[in-house]
Amino acid sequence: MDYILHLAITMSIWGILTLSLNYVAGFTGIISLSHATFYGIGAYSTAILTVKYGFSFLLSVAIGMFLAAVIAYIVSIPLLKLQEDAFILVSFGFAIIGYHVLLNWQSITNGALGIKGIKAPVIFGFSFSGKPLFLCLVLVALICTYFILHRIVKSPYGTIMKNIRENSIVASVNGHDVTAYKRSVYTVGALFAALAGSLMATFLMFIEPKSFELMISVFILIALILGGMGNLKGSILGAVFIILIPEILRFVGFPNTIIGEMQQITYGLILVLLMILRPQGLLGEYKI
Amino acid sequence: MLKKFAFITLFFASLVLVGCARSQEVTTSELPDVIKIGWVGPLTGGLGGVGQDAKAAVEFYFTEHPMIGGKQVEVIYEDGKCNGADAAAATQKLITVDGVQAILGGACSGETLASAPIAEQNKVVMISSLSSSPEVTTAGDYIFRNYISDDQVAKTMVNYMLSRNEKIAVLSEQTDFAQGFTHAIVKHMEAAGASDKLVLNESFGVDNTDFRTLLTKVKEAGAGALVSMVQTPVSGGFMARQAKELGLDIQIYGTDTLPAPDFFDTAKDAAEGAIAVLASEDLSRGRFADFKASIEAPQSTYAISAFAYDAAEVLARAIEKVGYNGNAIKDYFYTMPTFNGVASDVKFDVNGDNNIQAAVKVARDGEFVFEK
Amino acid sequence: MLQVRDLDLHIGGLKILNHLTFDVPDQSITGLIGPNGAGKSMFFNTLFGLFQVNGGSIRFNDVELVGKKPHEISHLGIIRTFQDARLLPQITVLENLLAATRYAEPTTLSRVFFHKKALYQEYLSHVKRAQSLLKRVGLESKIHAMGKDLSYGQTKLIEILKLFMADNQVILLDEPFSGLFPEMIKIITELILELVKSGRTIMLVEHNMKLISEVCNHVIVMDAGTTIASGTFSQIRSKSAVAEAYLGD
Repeated sequence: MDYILHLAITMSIWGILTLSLNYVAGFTGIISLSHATFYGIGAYSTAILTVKYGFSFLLSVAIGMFLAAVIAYIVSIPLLKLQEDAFILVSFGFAIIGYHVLLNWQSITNGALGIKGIKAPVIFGFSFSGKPLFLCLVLVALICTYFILHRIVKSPYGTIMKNIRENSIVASVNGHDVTAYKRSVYTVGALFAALAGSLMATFLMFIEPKSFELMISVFILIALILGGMGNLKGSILGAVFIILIPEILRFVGFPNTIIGEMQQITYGLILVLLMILRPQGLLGEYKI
Repeated sequence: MLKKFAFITLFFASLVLVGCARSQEVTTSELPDVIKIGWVGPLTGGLGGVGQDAKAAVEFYFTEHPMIGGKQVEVIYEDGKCNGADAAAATQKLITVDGVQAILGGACSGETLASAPIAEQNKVVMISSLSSSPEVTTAGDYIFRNYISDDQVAKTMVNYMLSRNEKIAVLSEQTDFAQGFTHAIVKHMEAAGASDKLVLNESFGVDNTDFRTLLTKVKEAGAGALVSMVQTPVSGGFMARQAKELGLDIQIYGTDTLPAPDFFDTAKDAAEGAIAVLASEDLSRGRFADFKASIEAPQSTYAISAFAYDAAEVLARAIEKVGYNGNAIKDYFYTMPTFNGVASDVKFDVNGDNNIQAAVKVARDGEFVFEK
Repeated sequence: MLQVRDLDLHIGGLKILNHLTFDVPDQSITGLIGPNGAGKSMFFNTLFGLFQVNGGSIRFNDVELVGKKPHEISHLGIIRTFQDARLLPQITVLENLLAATRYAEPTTLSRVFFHKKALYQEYLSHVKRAQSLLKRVGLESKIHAMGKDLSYGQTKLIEILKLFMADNQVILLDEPFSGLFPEMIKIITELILELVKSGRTIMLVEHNMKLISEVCNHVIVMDAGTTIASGTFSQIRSKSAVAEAYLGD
């Protein structure tokens, strides 16, 4: 039914997001808290280009991914120089800056009002309107993302990524240009986050700055940790869980007076329990 | 690897097939045994208080009127968490799983705008009693609201200020709502050809409570009117008091983020005379006085409860008249006669908006009251 | 030939290396000895560009090493072990060895996607080499064990095996025998001697004087960041009483 399709689509898009963060944080150890910013760049690129300028969907996605990659690359130059703690704080700050740009650059982003009326993707004349078709499109994107990232992390490149995660000094002594690798990883991660953003924009047909604020970056990280860092299948699982748990809680018969709060408390409890019982996540190979 | 891939494909293919099976469309106008109505709004989070108030008002209405046409009403409340993605999922669930033909919601504009396409596609009516974004005006044929749009409020405020011929300064908090409203103010000033009267337009960080530097700039700019576009009454209170401390003799304007006990507690005597332009309950309305007397005090304002109550009543009357069907209710809404509600008159225009005037209230002795 | 001239390293007001000057002869096994805190490990770190030098130079075959990044130093054919034998904990032993492997070309994304066959072939040959190395020291069963699950002795052994995974000319060994049982020391000594036979230059930081005297053909004595003696073991041994104070092991 439509509701299940809706959730399947949401989970698939979050699957792409979580995979992309896994690539950056789970495999390479770059704990980025600004991933949602690139998600937002992809979403807004598609929204603005298709709604305001009539660009085709594919072109808007390509531009969104390109933009995210360029911004990621530029930001990574000063950002990756920082040590872990400082890095996390600054990526925090970058997320907040990103949100404010979306909010205040009103001439382009329409600010707080958001952008509505984003149409369903049309690829080579074929319209992907309707949930079943859209799910197919998203699944294709998810599978492509998985396979591309899988290819990379299973190769010697992946060994180097993990080397950097475990000990970047040993990695550089082993002969790997750590800075160059980190920059490349951060950029590729941004690319796929933007792809997820483009898909989400055409799915909800409406976006606003709030959809890309700091908390979203945190949620992606939670999904990643939940599913397990350093394991690509885990990312899919993490995305499924983080979307599914609150939805399942809708059906638990909490009394009407406290329904909202109980759902939130239960959700929080489940997350805490999972972290206590299995801190490396469901399929994880890596603990921070 | 291939086996796993095949399994996943099969799994999702079956989902697609299941999704293709059309869910029963309600084509009859007969009333079902239980009339399930949906509700989407923020039950948790920053605007949880507002959402809870709206929910309480709806519950209050249906406790007083539990039946429509002899059939039991059941309202299913879902937490939209004041964001588009969650509200969209909630709306989809209400439509697909619960089979509702009408939804009271969203509250936050993002909730409404993200839910709108889903409601449109399924021919389900949405009535928002709280969304103020101008974008909701064109969100769809099935989307209605009895609340006033920020655009209308901003326009009222700008017209009022311009009629006093003052130079205007705007200080706005860096939040969705405050920035959106400021944007509308600027737009309406431009439309009125009065952009030159806007002598200062600055923003400040969320939850900031020290405005002295900004207020000094306001003083230097020679403004006679200060729009205090804050997100919370406490910030507004600080701004008013610090303005007074700086000897800034200026007329303060705000909107519905000002009127609250916090504003008066923080601003003390600096609050006196501040003007709030907002969607507001009209105390002169007989129905409102009765309503206020019978409902439990809300966490936020009576306006929110009142508008939510009206949305519920308008919907209930529509169902009574034309049956529980999204299409029928939609058609009825566009043609219905003016409804005398608790918060306001309700008459939907061609866009599904309710073109009521924003109220102008003045702070007198610890309360915002209507100007005589 | 490694030439160190007037190398200065100041950290937090302390002169860790103070006009450090010595030569490491080609294809020698040079011992680097001295009391704790003399700056021996710090010299290795500095050579590798892990710290910014305050003055002086290190030349390797007439190439200036000061100012180069660690991976650039590695590409010149210089490799090292770490005193605390850093086996990367959350990856397998095999991956640890592969991480230290030198591929024909740096592994880039384009190699992964456009030269995957060639890359894969190389990868397989490196895996074979890793497997045979582990077999030699009886650790083939640990090939897929996580780095953190190995004992101290096994970790130090793998640290040495990493040296066989990358082509190199200069090997810096930082206390490879510390904390090991005699049996383990024997195995590692054999491995090191094998490396020596193949014509590499080796620098060995070690406190065990018996080993130094047996293995090294050149010795440098450091104290407080500077050289106080150099030459063959018997030469430095016969030097002043100060040098003797450090040899009582």
